[in-house]
Amino acid sequence: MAAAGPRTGDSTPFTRRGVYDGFRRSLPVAAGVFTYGVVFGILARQTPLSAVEALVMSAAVFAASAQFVVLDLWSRPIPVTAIVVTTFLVNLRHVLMGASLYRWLARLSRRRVYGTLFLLNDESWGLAMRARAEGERDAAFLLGSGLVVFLAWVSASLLGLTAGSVVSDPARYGLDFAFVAVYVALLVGVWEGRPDLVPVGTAAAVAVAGGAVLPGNWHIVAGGVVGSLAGVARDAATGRGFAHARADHSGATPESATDGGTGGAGRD
Amino acid sequence: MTTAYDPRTIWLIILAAGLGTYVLRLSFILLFGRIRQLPPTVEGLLRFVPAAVLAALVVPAVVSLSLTPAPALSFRTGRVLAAVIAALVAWRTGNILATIGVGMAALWGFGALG
Repeated sequence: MAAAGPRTGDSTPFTRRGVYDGFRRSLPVAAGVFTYGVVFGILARQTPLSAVEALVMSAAVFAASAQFVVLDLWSRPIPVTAIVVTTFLVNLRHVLMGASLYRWLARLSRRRVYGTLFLLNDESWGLAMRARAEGERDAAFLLGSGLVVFLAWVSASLLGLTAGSVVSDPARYGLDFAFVAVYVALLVGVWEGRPDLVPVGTAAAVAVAGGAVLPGNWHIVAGGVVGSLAGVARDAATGRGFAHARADHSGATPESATDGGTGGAGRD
Repeated sequence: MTTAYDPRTIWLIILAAGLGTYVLRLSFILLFGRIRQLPPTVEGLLRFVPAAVLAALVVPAVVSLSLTPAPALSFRTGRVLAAVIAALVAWRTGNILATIGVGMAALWGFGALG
């Protein structure tokens, strides 16, 4: 792999060494992802999903929180639309991450960008942004980091699926609470302080109210959308949104998107 | 557990979720020629979505609203307490496995409370 970017003659490096660095420096995080992947595999085994289907989901979706949501919302008949919409919402944060990476990746060949971004995940994003802030220029760092986290996630899912079939029917009661615990952990992870109180409180209230009147799992979608809108409305009313815009005159700078954070490294 | 789910529906969901996630990851590169900057409103919206969706997943699992005979909130006491304990563990340790373990143990402990 040559160090030079293709065709445009630019200087964004993308080297084997970058892949290696990203891989190596992401190993501790990958170990955390591994334990989490085992939990996913075990829980997936308790649903009607087959092991192959769950494993393909881990490789194709490669987004822990979204995959937990898919398992959790699985009921009969399968609420296809609600599952897909909720998954989409849970993953919307990737738009922000993509925005923050834009300048770094913009001059790479499409093949490299598409491959690297397929492996984009919260942990790698956080590590790569930190590395870049510390002077890393090699965009292959993100690819290497994505690779090790991907390998950890998929192999852990496989292990969990295998272990989950040995443990037959482990305490069906309370199993759904494991999902609640996962969501609680994720929520605490993305919590950025008091500014989140309005969107989170609104989302909770709308979801509970919606649960009484909406079919299927649409109360979750409604809570997520209305809660986020409430946060934006509060920002507009208090002027916070404008301060944000002022710092962001040049578009997708890493700083602005990091500031608009998504919980950063450590959790997905 | 052995009910027949339509495999095509399952694969459709996996495909849609995978493709949708990939498109989100690529979105900025795909749009780069047209949108150089996210409007602040959109950026603010994206910031709040994860926390809002997670709250919408958690809270209805422990509190529900019934409209008949009269509007009333019913708290599943054991679950509320277990969720609060899980949140404390998550806050203190940042460890998802510990959160699940302690949360579920707490739920079993509070089982008598419903």
